[in-house]
Amino acid sequence: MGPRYSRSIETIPGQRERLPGGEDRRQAEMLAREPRERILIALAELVAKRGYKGTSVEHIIKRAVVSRSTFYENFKNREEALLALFEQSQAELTARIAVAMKGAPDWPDSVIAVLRAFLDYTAENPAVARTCLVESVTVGSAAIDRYERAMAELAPIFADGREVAGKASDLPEALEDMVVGSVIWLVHQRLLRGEAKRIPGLLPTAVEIATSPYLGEKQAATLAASL
Amino acid sequence: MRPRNLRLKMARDQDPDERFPIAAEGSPEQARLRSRLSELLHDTPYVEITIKDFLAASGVSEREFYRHYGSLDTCFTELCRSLMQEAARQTFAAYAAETNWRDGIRAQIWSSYEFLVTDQTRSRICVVDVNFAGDDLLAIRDLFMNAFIELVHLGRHERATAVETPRARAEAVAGATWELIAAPVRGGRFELLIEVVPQILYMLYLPYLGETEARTELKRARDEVDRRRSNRASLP
Repeated sequence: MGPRYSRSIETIPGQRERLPGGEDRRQAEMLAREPRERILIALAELVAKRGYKGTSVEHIIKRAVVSRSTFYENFKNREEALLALFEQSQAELTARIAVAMKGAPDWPDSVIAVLRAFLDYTAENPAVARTCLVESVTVGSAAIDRYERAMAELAPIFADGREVAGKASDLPEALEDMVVGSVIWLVHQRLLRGEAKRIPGLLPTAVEIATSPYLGEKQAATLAASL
Repeated sequence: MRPRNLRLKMARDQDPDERFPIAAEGSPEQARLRSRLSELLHDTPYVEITIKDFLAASGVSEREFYRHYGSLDTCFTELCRSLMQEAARQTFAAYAAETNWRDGIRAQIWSSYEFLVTDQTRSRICVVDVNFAGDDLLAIRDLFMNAFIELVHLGRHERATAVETPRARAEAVAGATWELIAAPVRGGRFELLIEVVPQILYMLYLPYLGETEARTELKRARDEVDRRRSNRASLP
């Protein structure tokens, strides 16, 4: 969704074209958003760049162009703001995954759809992804709980592969947790190195990891190679 | 092509002193401060400890502390560095004591399990608290992980196939190992760690030995878990 400009801008002919460039443009676009949204955007950008420890409320309010009182009207503290960002991005990702899975005819196609949706979302929102997947574990126990819940929510998607395998009882109990952990780690490392653009390219490896315990190495490799 | 004298090459490549810049022992006073911080960490996660808390609990004056360390984070970083180096020595030595990759990985994972359960405070520091002290410490953690990834990636020589298993696969299974270990440690559920060992071994072996052998190792590790539990139960 693009920036929303206030009605006053829309009614003045040519005003949009006269918006300043560079940082001024960024600030103008920021000001067109609601304060809460500005705070969350600023938080994600700053935490991705400076780390959670290095990001103060002062930094956030300056970047979000809000007052200190506005910040505290919206959030009790930085941690609460980060948890809100996590919830928001989780909701967006869940919606995206649901849409992606709708057209999938079978389990392997579902896995491909889910992983593609996840990797693409991460690559398109690197600051949010880095804040949620990399920095959140440095915040405190509430954020760590949220992170672990998000991982746990992804696992059942892969568990349907046990029916495909036909030997569900032989497979490790925590297999789906390990599949999720594998994919998250690969993304985590690319985000850490500032290589968000390379994340979609992980799809074949991620699909092979996710399907090999259920389909077997050969079939998983063939599926990955077809992508 | 399989490197000649693989074992020696692996052991040399994974020398912990080469991989982890050795922390200077520092002065006895610095060692004492690290020891006091370690005691405080028995009951309180690092993220909740302030410099005031540390000074009050340790009986050290502010002047004395800052004579030896620039910040609490620096003191903690040195403490963690020494613990992680200890972990690396122990677990990589277990790997190098074996004559092949398969036995080496198995030995290393069991050694890691022993390291984690033997001292729970130390484990919590290495796995959980390490996230809270800044980029230097995370870089040390990542060095450890990269060394582990390289060991896992050596598994690509196990298969008599022309297809090269990419390094990303080793990264992925190493990352899964970390997550599987981290969750019980974060939750203080150390009794669950022994249950994840067979599952970690299965995941590590699967890309390199294939499904049949990975399941064999899964069963072998489960039998080992049963044996250890039985031994524990028979202790007076």
